[in-house]
Amino acid sequence: MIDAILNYEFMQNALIASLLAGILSGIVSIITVEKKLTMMSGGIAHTAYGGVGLGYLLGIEPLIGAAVFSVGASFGIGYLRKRGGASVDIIISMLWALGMAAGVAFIALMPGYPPDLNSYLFGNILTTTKVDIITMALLTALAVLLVIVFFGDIRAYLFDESFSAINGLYVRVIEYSLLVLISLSVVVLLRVVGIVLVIALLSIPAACSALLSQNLRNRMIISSTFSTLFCVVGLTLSFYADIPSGATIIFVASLVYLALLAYKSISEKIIKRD
Amino acid sequence: MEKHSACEHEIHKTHGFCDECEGCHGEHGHDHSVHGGGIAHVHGGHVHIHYPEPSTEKVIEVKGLTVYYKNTVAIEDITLDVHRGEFLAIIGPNGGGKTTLLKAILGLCEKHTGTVKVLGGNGGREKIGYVPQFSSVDRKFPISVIEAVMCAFVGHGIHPFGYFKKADRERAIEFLKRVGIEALAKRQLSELSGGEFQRLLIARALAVSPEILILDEPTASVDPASRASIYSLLDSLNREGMTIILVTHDLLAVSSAVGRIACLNRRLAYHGEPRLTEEVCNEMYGCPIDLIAHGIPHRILGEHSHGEGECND
Repeated sequence: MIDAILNYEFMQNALIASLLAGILSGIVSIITVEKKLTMMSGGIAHTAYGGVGLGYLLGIEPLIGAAVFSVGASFGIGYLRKRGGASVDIIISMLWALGMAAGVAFIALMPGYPPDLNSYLFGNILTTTKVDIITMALLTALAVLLVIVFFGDIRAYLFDESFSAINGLYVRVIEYSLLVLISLSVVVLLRVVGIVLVIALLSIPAACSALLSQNLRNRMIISSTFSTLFCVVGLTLSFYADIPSGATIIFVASLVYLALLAYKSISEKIIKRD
Repeated sequence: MEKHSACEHEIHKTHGFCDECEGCHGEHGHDHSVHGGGIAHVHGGHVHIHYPEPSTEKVIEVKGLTVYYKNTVAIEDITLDVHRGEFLAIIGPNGGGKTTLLKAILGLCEKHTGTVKVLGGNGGREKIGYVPQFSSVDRKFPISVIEAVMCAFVGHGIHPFGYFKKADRERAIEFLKRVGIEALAKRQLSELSGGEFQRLLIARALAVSPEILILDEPTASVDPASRASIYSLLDSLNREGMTIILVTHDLLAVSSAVGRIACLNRRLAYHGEPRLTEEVCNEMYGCPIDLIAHGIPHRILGEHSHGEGECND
């Protein structure tokens, strides 16, 4: 595989993409998990499929369509969460299916041969292009910058939103900025793990870090490290076993999480016995 | 008791109070909106002799407030003033709108009519120290006790590079000392007992340097010792001049430090001194359904059942 990385540009791209995806998903997963937005992120990922379909139909970049759809979905869900009334679960489920339905419909309306959308659904890190890498790098840099510069505000917002709001913190600004960050992250992560699997990359790294640290900043670092590990190991497995990278990354992530969970519960039992 | 529950049923069905209660409500609601609350009810001051007299400065003015949840009315036409230095307890049955009223005061209710003014206008809310209901805060959040208090220093606006400084830590420790949990400063939130967690929430509210302290059922999930120390803390804060609004089911609180009570059952049923005399008990109809459920002294039960006859008329 080292040879392949040295010799083939697509392998270099894939490796850089795994590193970036790891850092980005590690940070964003902490936010989605602490704010209990995991299901929402799954919902907006699937809504994005509608955008991919519309992109193909209109002849524009499918990922731009996906970005528009996912930001729209996250704002809609974020607004409904605040307003109450309609059940957020129902709205998420509806958007989840509606996005997929729209995608299928848009593709069906396209004249000629339908494009292969498997790479959007399940991801294929080996097809990442230079443009994908640049987009990912920009968004990852933005995410890192955001959490470093506004760490205090983000922590206060995540910990107790209404208390911070009474205190005068601009919680709406933080909330919608984070929603944009989550939506755009979902879209760039589509390249790596795909619509169906992105929910795992936005929950498992944070869940692993929660088992190891009780400090928000450390959790972000641990989560990013784990996620990077999942992506790189997953890519390696994908290369050798000739299985799409999305699937191998999720296998690795799930196994590591389960192993950590088992380790934790065994070590706690031992401590109790002593 | 049977008679009483019949009365309660009647109240729910008609979404109001029995005639006597309605009359009482009307009279007192009017009385207080005119006189600015409470003053007409001070009887010689012998009950709260060592408390500073609340000033006439209104720190919270609620006028004709109605809040809707979807299409149902949570609270209706509430008019209520809170004066500087006052200790007000809001009591009432579950679902009576106590928390809703707090949220409206805190500016967290979206759909409402009427006006709520805190410290004279906009921005006044930043001078409120809010102690939310125990269960509404995520106790699993990865944060230490001292950091949780320091979150109160974040304040208005948006703060690039707003990291905690050493001075912040020292200040936060002072607030933890005030509630008696400075020894737990480095603990994680998840490692606190119910009483410790509740005190942390109070320390955090104090860290805002508030002019008004608002507490939503601060003794609902704590042991008796913590409860007693929370009340004595509130009592001493109030003596130092802090305005305190307390939502509670706990009548011990009402009978000790509290200066005035407001009874809320969708409407404001009573607003005035917490003197549990026959007169006041009669005035509180439609509201103290809770009082019965929580077991109060026989004397009051007696007074209350005396009134039930009237209720069932």
